[in-house]
Amino acid sequence: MTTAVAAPREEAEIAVVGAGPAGCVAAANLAELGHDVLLIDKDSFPREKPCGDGLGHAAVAVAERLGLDELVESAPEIASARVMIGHRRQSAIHFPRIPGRPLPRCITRKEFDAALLGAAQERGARFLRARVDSLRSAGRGQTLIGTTDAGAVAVRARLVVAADGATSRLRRVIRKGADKPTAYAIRRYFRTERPLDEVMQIDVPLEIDGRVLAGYGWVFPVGEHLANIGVGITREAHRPVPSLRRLLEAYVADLEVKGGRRFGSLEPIADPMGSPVGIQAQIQVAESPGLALLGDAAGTTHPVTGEGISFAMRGGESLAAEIHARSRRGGPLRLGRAAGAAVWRSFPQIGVDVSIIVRALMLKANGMSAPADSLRSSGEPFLSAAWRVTPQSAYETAVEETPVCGALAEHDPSLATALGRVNDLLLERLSDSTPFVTEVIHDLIRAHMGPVYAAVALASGASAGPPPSTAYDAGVAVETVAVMPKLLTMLVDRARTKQLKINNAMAILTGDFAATRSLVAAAKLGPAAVAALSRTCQGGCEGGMRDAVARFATDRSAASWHQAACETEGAGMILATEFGALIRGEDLAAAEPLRAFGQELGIAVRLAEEIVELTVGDELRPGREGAALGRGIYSLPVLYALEAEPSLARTLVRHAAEPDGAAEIIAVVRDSGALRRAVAECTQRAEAARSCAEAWGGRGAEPLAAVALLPAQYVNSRLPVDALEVC
Amino acid sequence: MADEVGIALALLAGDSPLRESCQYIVANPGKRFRASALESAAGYGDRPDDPLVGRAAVAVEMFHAATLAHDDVVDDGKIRRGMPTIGAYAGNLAASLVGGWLFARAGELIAEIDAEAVSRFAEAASVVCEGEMIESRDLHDVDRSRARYLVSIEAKTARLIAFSTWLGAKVGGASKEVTERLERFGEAVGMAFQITDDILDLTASAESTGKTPGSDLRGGVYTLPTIYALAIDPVLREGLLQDPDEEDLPELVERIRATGAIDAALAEGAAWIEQALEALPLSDPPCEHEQQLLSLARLVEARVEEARP
Repeated sequence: MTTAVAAPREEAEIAVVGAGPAGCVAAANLAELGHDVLLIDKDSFPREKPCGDGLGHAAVAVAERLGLDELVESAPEIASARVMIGHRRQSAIHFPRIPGRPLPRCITRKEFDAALLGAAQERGARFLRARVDSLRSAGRGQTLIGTTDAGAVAVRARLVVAADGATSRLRRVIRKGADKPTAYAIRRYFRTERPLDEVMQIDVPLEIDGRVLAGYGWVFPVGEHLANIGVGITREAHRPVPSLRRLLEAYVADLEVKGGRRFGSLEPIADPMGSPVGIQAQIQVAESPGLALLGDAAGTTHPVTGEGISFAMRGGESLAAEIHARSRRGGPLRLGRAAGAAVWRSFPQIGVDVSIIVRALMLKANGMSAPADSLRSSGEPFLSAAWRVTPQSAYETAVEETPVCGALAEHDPSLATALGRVNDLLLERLSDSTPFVTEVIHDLIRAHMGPVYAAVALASGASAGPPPSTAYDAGVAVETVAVMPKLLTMLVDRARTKQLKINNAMAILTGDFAATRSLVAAAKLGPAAVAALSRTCQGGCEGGMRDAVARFATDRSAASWHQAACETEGAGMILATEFGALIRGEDLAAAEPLRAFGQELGIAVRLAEEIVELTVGDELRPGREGAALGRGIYSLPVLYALEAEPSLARTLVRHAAEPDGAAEIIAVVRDSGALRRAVAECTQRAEAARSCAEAWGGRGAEPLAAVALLPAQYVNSRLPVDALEVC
Repeated sequence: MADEVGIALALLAGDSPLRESCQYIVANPGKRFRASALESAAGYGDRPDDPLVGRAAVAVEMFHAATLAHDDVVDDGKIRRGMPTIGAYAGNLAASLVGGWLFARAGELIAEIDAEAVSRFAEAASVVCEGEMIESRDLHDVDRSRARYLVSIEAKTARLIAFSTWLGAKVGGASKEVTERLERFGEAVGMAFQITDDILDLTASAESTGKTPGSDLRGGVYTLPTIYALAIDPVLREGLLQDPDEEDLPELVERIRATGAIDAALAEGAAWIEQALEALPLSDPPCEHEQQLLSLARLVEARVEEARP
């Protein structure tokens, strides 16, 4: 005790330990919000950091929000990743260029972290170079005991944020018993003889001396001739950790042989650096309410890709917002589990079982035998399917980047914020189930324009005050109920493979889960809401069946398509306006003037999605245009083409047998003028919905009118310029 | 009862593409166990003849029918109650959508009652769905514990029966205390019901069910007797790990029987019946609805006897 009293004292409202990306972002945001922040790190900056230096789009976006545009723009945009699977198979991942979402970049951590620290200091955060040794809670405050060059120091703060990395000292202070790190990585910089492509290369799994290891190697382009090359491995319980340095040497030697043409010779320019990586099965939550864990200290590194910076930075923003919200309410600044929840929302809750699965799949892909028991206990089919179906985690995709959120923000930023809360709530409500469910449902919701139904409920429910809490439940209910029949149709009755049974089980369970969650949310709005929601769900099932029986039917009428669209998307959108009325405190009948709006917009949304799918492909899975044709799903443009060009029926039948002829069909749809007709109809319906919203004249009429135009804008922005040119 | 479900289904629009598949459910009504439990529970209140009681009974049967339709898709089941399943003749997508439709229709009927009924229904439906998820995650897991098994059947079976008796008592206007007792009764009967159902899969003859005894084992569903037997017989474990074929089943069933696990599971089923009877509110002399609930419990008890090899 006497030493603490004798030590020089520092005071701060909030002490953030660790000035990496997580700590700096939290500190910068807190300081900007007017808090007194002391940022503590054992190093002085700039300093080297063992890392791949790859920044995902979310990390780049946070950096831009902190004003680091100049640094960001100095690094090349990375448009794709090349995944080499055991040197035998190569698959390219294109990062979609979506308006408002930056592309990934590679920036050395030395530069990046120093710039982030600068951003925090610019906003008023103070910096103290000290090693933190222990933490004491006393009364309403926390006291950190540390060592600086000048000797011992004591820091008193109301709240401590521990962002001190994978081997977090503070985490060990609060939880006795050291938890061993579960993954390790090492990297070294190399000068390459040839200029590097702007591509992130990943080799998976790691094959060293004929042995397959649970891990991967990377080559990331930091400069034209400067590569960050490294390897990461997951610790296997029954095996000792191999020498990382040896692994890296072997990987580089291998690259020089197999990637010789791409890189030329590789000349090391500094010593290798290695470190543990923070991967945990669950987000770590501090038991002490005055301490919040963040970034690698909380274990938020993606268990599969090993990406940690995006989640660390996103977590820093969320935690800062959470702390600020609490401090405004007054009282002691105690977070407890709320800190975990805030960080957790920015974490891909895929869970560590996915990494078990992916490891097992890697082994399988290489013809090695996979440990059957670990596959079984981790529920392999669900998780591996989640991996197949959702190229991007629900937690990685910010709702702010969706077109519909943009449309709301333009007219009423508070509605855009509310939509963000609906998205958070959706993730929260879905997350206590299997990761597959969360991921697949979210994938469907954001696949095209984003959560349009929730946006319509919020905009039509806008009133003078802030939205009531039921507004968020309404948003969740309308999004999940719309997704249910889609899920069933998407997954059930797919190709008759061995996996059929698994597909069915997944489809049913996810569909039911969506349906029950929407019911729970609607129940909060009362019996009238449940009755309306139930009717919509019945209509959705009927529409789904109408579509199902029309599969492969080349004589399906456009009228049948329109009827199904009214039953599903149209009814879903009408429900959203009805929930809007309930949010305003009125009854369902008050939504009557918006009935035509819902109907027209619903049909336009479906048509827009179909046009884009047919001509460009799903934007989350680009390059697979017309994939639905092979499954006998004939969209309205195709039906219009059949009207104009009856001989197309023969091509469609042929295509059913051999699924490669999509291009030929798409050409007929274009040349027959059917595509032009479908685009015109989409625009016309969007316009009709807009006029209807304007005629309604409610408080949210303007944002509602903006949402109405989305389908047309979406088609125009995605469709290639020459897509409507008839040959 | 069956008539009312029929009426509700007939509410479908004439051109609904789901109509045909829904008719099938009317034609194949099953035991209507949940509807009977609900109507009997309503007898404990002062308005047993409230029209909402009948609507609520239709709702719980529709919800149950929805879970069966979806169950058959998950298990790829071809026969139920001696008839082909919806999936078998109309395809799995139809079965899924019919299930979704029935579930939504049940929700619409419950919404006629009140906010409490609606939120309890929403909660029960979520729990049933989560029970199915727990079960599907436990498939083929030879280390499945008794506790996990009980959690799963509590959620997927007992919860809906408990909801039925609770809802009946509430709509019928029973007192709070009686309503709670009836809910506990439903819960315990539901547990006994599922445990015996699972035992019957191992013991009932092919003639009575149309299925080979032990078909759950092939599907990787390890129920209470199997869980008990696995703890005793290491050879059984090996047998299950090797993904048994149809012809391996008699031997596996015999191994389970030899461990005495079936008797142990039967005793557990009987204990739940005991609990149900303890929870049942009594009147003196016994009245009609009490007799009905007693006979439901006896029905399950008789199944316990039937399941005895």
